[in-house]
Amino acid sequence: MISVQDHPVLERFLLAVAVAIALSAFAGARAGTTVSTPEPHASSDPTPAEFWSFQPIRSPRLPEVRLTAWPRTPIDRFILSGLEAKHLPPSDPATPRELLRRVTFDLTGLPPTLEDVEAFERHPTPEAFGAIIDRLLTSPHYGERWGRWWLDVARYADTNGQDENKVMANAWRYRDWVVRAFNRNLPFDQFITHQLAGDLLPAPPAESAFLEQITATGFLVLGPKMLAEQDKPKLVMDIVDEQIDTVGRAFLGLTLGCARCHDHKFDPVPARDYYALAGVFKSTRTMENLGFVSKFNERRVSTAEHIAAYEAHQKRLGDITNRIGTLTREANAALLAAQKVEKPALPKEPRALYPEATRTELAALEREQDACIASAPEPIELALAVADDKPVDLPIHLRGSHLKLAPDPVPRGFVEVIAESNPPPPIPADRSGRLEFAQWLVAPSNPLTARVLVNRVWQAHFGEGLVRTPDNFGLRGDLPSHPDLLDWLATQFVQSGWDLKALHRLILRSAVYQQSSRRGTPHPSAQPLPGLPAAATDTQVAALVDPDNRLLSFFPRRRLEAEMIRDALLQTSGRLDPTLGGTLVDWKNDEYTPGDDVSANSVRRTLYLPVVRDRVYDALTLFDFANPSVTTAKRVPTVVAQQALFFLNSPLVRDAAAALAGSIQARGELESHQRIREAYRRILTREPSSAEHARAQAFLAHLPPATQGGSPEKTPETQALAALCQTLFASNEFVYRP
Amino acid sequence: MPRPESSSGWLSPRWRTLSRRQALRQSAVGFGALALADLLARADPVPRISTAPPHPLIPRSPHFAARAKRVIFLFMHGGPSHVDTFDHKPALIRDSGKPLPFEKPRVQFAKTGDLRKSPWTFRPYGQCGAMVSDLFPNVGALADDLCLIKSVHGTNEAHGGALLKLHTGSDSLIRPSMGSWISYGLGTENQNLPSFITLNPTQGHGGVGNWSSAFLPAVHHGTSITGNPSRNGQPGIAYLGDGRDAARQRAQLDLLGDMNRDHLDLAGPDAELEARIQSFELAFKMQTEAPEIFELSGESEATRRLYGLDDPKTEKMGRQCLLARRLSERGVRFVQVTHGYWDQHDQLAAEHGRLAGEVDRPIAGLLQDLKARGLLSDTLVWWGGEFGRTPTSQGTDGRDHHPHAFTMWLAGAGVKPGFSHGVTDDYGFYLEDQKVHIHDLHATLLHLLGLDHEALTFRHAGRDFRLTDVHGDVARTILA
Repeated sequence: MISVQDHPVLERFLLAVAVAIALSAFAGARAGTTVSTPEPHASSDPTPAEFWSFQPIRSPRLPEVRLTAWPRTPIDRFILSGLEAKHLPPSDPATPRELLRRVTFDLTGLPPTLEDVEAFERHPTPEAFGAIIDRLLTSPHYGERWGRWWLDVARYADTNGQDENKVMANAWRYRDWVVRAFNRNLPFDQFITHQLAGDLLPAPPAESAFLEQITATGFLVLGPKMLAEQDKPKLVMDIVDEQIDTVGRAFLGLTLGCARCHDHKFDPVPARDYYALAGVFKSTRTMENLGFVSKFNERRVSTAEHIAAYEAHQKRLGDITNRIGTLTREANAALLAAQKVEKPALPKEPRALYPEATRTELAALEREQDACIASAPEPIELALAVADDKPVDLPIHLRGSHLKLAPDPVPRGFVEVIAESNPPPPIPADRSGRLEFAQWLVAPSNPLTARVLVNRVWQAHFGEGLVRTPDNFGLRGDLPSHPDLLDWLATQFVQSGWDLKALHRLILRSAVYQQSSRRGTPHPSAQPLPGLPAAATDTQVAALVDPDNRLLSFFPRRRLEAEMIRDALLQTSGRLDPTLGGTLVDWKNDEYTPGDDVSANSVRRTLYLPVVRDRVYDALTLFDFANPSVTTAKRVPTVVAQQALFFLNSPLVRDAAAALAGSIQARGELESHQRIREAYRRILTREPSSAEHARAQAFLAHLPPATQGGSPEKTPETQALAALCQTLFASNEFVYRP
Repeated sequence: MPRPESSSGWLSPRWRTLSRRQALRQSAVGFGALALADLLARADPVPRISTAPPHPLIPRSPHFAARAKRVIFLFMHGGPSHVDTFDHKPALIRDSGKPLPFEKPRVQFAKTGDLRKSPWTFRPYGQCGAMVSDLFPNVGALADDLCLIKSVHGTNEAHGGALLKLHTGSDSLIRPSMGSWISYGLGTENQNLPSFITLNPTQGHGGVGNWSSAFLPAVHHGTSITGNPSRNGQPGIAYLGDGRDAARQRAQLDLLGDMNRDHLDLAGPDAELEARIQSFELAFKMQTEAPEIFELSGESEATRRLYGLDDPKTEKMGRQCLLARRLSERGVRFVQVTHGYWDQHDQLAAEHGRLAGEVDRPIAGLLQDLKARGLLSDTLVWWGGEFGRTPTSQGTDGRDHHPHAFTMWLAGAGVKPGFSHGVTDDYGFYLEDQKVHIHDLHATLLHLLGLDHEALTFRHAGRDFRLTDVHGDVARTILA
């Protein structure tokens, strides 16, 4: 035994130094230099226009590899070639249970059921795994998980935030459109075009399809706005800026917003490009009005038939109401005229004095009115959406100020640096240029859009992208760890017709995706590396040669995302309401945001909880939920003590534990040891080991009684079982995707 | 004095009895790497990291010798009027009722009328003779401790923009709060408490945007404490248990620790899994320590009186000021107290009077208490709102928002006591000299904490961000 009590820091430091020195002595001999992120500002840099991401996407050859038994897909050849160049072996495959847990969370955001795990464990074949992928991709929960993935990029929220936190009560229609688009695998080039210019595309034959395209443009309206800004021209330019920043980072991986005040400091994006693009968005109507507290734009998304019926109904109701009013006024006037006194006055209940015929007619009209109200059609639906406005070219705003304008306007246009390989379509004088911009973004010759997108998808599966700055492919961004793989994926993706589900299949069937997340378990058929002291484990070498695991010698284990934690707690405890779509709040549109008393009490999937800007439900922010006020490229997982407090004390965790314990306890036939087994099976989808069994038995036997908190109808046994369930919920095994 | 925690504070007993074999194995990428990273973080005083270090709250050395170790910001939400509090303007009294003899700003929140004198009398205080209005007799009596800055200006005439500008340096973009920047730059002295706490913050006008870490690691996000945290030991930190089931939770944590270590054995070395194991021990300690902080009953009767806890009018602010002292004392780096709502478009005389009456005694009490405990020498106290109010009249008894010139004051660590900086014109409308923009204030604040505002950067979306963006000059004249 050692004591680290006396000099803990020193002790640990010495240990680290000893290991580092020991490793570096032979690592240099056998593994060459360490893998590090290349410094983007080396003196040998090409000129900005020659930078890798602005070059056309190549269609690279598959590299040769030595360990030919390992690759399952072309992806693996690229990965293995990178590993072999550094003499690193890949890891052995994940267990069926781990793999199923990983892929189920990845595609649906939910944990697998025990039955699914057991079925796959019985037949863990590539074919079975392929069938599982297909099943998960057709589950409606796929769209919920991947819709939410896109909502991070789209800075989705149900309220405006910023200075005047107004409710955007129709934002959810955009959210549900996104979920549907993923579920029906809308080709991603169309997914992008609809969001930027769905309203400007030729109307498809089905009216509902056109209304969906209008709903999609909510993407441009979702951003936070300074609604009470009194310098209204500034407000408008700030909104344009927010759109450019979002669009640039979301689709092009370029921080175009940097060019508002001056030419981009690092990337070849002059202020001229910014104002060319700003003209496009300035020619787009994002605001309904610019009043004292301004109002975001919305459009009707009910069918013409529905609108006609609604308006006809409104007119009929108005007519009836008018007739009742007229009749009443006339009858009252007649009553007053009949009173031959100086100051005629109506009695309290004048109606009783009306002539019989009038009373009958009024009663009939009122019945008609009631019937009319009862048969009212649904109100006309609104969605956040844009429209084209008067086209305008903007001059460069010196230092970003709308008060200091350059003399000449810049014609509307896009980003010049990639215009040579990807020529922009001309913008007609009478149009904003939004549609042309969208078409230019998704043109196969655009070098950025497909690369940026496949990198985002890769990141969602592996925790990090091949480019680790997913919203910055510019000169200050990260360089790709596997540039050929990135281009190969982008090429496949474009050739498949921007088929996202095909891209998932490509990635998920690879050996690299199916690796174990344990470090230091080299693949059994990997050759021992030459000249290695036996004392160095592969773990230690990998940690030194590739500390960030950029080469993917093992699968990156990751903590569950905020939604996954909450959804898994609800599902595992049998409380999740799996209803799809719709809104959970009855807040009035454009009112000041009321307190969110929905999130803490709902058992719907987290996707459907209201996203209240500046007041996001704390159980989500605690686990690094995306800031909904800006496009979020990557959620950086943190480990802080307050998360531990959440698992110890939050009603969400306690309720889940109590519900699960209650349902296990309710099965009266179970013995104590069976109840422990059941808790493990339900929460961790596996059997407890005998040691775990014994430990849990001891825990249940010696747990101090609860002094408070537990509901009185719960027996001490149920409360103890709930404490066990809560502990399992808090475990790393539950909270991490293996 | 703050109680610095050693970095081994979170070591649970079990970790102290690791076998050497286990320790070595874990060290490959575990503890050893953590310790190295910590030491490297200390050796490099300028954080230039783009990912969270394993222990981002470990105290870091500043760029240069710090005058202040911590900050208490007394934020007067709504915009207290400078010409009715600390900026005495005889010409405004003389010309009251006359039109402003020069042009008003291009953008105004509302249209205002003629010049209007203050309803309050100003009188000189202390050796320095600073003129303070009758709204603040108790704070005025401490004028020799104050460093008045009468030349603050901002850039936004609406509350939301002005609040965000004041707290984050940007009125339209999503940026980290100054408390988050300071936490990121310096870490914190007590690992059992958050580094940045905001008491009773406003939910409007940017809400959490005013204490958010934005793109900085989330551990620097401000911890907001709402409600009345000091009553009945009710904790204000989210999800903090009340400790009544501590023995039961201890048993859960022991079982959890066993499970997690088994899992770690199977998973292979993983610094993040280790960190999560430790986070439960830290949470348990936090749960023990935090309620004691919120329990004010142990404070002496004299102290309670000093902060105005004996008067219903001053009790609420008094509790917050007292809590701010207790948190600062225990090493919390940045504490913000919010009081409002100083937005008198009308009823200026009545409402400014009521609001000042709520805060004057507690703030004076805080300053005296900090001084008596020797804390004022390394604690910076900062008072102010998001803007001032127009010297011209709105309606018959109001003033509009005024970001073009207003007053804030600092007291304590590193600033000249009994000093006044900056001059407004005869009416307090525009600045004449020694202008201090919000960016300059931020630069000065960081400077006092030993941080160079141009060197405290974070790489995000391809560039190095700063609290002061590309602006900011340290107001060197006010440095002691």
